[in-house]
Amino acid sequence: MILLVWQCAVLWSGIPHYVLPAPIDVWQTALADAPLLLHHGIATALLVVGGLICGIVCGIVVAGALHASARMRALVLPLLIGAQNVPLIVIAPFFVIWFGFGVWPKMLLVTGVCFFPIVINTLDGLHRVDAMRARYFAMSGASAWQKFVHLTWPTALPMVFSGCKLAATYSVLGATIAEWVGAQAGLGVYMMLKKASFDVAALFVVVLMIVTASIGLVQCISVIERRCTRWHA
Amino acid sequence: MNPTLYVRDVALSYGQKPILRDVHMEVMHQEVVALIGRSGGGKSSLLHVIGGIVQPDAGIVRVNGLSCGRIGYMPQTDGLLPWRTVMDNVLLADVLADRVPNRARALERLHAVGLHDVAQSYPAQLSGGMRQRVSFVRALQAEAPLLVLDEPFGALDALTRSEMHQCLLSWHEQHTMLIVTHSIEEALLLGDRIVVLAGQPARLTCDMRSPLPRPRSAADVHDASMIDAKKQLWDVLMTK
Repeated sequence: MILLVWQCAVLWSGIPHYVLPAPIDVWQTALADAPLLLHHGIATALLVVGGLICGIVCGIVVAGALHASARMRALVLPLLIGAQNVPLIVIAPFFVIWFGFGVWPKMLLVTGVCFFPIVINTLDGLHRVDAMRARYFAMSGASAWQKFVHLTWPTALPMVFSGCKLAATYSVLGATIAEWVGAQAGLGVYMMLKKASFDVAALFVVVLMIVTASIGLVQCISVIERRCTRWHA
Repeated sequence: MNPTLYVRDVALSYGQKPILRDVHMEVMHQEVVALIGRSGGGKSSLLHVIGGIVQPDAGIVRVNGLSCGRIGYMPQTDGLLPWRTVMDNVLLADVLADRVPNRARALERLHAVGLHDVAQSYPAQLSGGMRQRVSFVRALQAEAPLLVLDEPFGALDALTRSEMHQCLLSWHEQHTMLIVTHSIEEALLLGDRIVVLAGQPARLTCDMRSPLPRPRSAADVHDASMIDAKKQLWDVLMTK
């Protein structure tokens, strides 16, 4: 319905296609550039998946460490919050200067973008242990490790998955911005090329691809979440 | 014969506030002792000392002769883990005791409380009374010399509570139990002895035997012999 209204509005208003392309123009551009989009899409997908996995692993490990030590939490958490406020577009060129034009600076950037929501959500989840259950573990003589494995971690799991879903939505955007700064291939590179040639229809195609990829990633994580937290349904 | 639980001259303070003073209590093998007191009167603090999660300022606590002896614990609410099935919740007691989970024994116990057919269900699929029974079986599965039940039926409705009393009465002969409650009737029905924790700081002010002979049933709560005992306990509890 939206597409139909959009198509009719563009046709009847006479808006030039370089200002607002009609859905059919966007579709035709997507078909014409399909091989190129596939090439750039695969490069971005590898960056997104790699960065997201690294972000999840690092985020969980750091959250676990911060949960274990209140002193470390007081010291590190403000730094993490501060770092989160540095705009990605500002920090990205520095990563290229420091780490070169290879895949690693971009991977590091995506990891950094995914890292924060994972840490905050996991930390929050780790602190949500029910007092009565914690007392049962304490009175039963459970060790700290037994408590973590059998109580704290399963309690945190739904929040960990919430963090993963947030991180997934940031990861695609993060990868695209990382590619703007310096890359051989990727949707960010394609986007910059098409922007330079005022190909608005192609820009719409990329935006749609980014949105679809974000939704797809979130859905994948939701499927894993449902399998891992059956009791939570 | 050595007592299963031996508490001698225990004192405890939280900061400047004294909570327990000169608490002395013994629970003999296969004896059921009901600990009764007002809310916020130090019952939970005494349990924490017995469970070893709080160190007393003074005094001795021994469970089966050991200073850090294991106990089987049933909390106020069921405290079951929602991500574990009924069976896995019961087997958690074995896991925490670093034992190979004894599935056959767990199933036998679930059968005894009429829950064998929900062994693979999750706690969210059970009623409040069923969850409390699972929690009780989990405490039994700890195979500890002493069972500590911390106001286990406070959150249940009267009918379910009566069913739980019956369930507990059918198990008492094989186990040594310390049951914390603030219900006088429940203390008299379930305990062989009733001890009262009162005062500020709290100490044991009364140690009396239940007038009910064994074996008992949940209906004995209406027994005529209960009236005098109830009045006696009421007077002790109301004494400032």
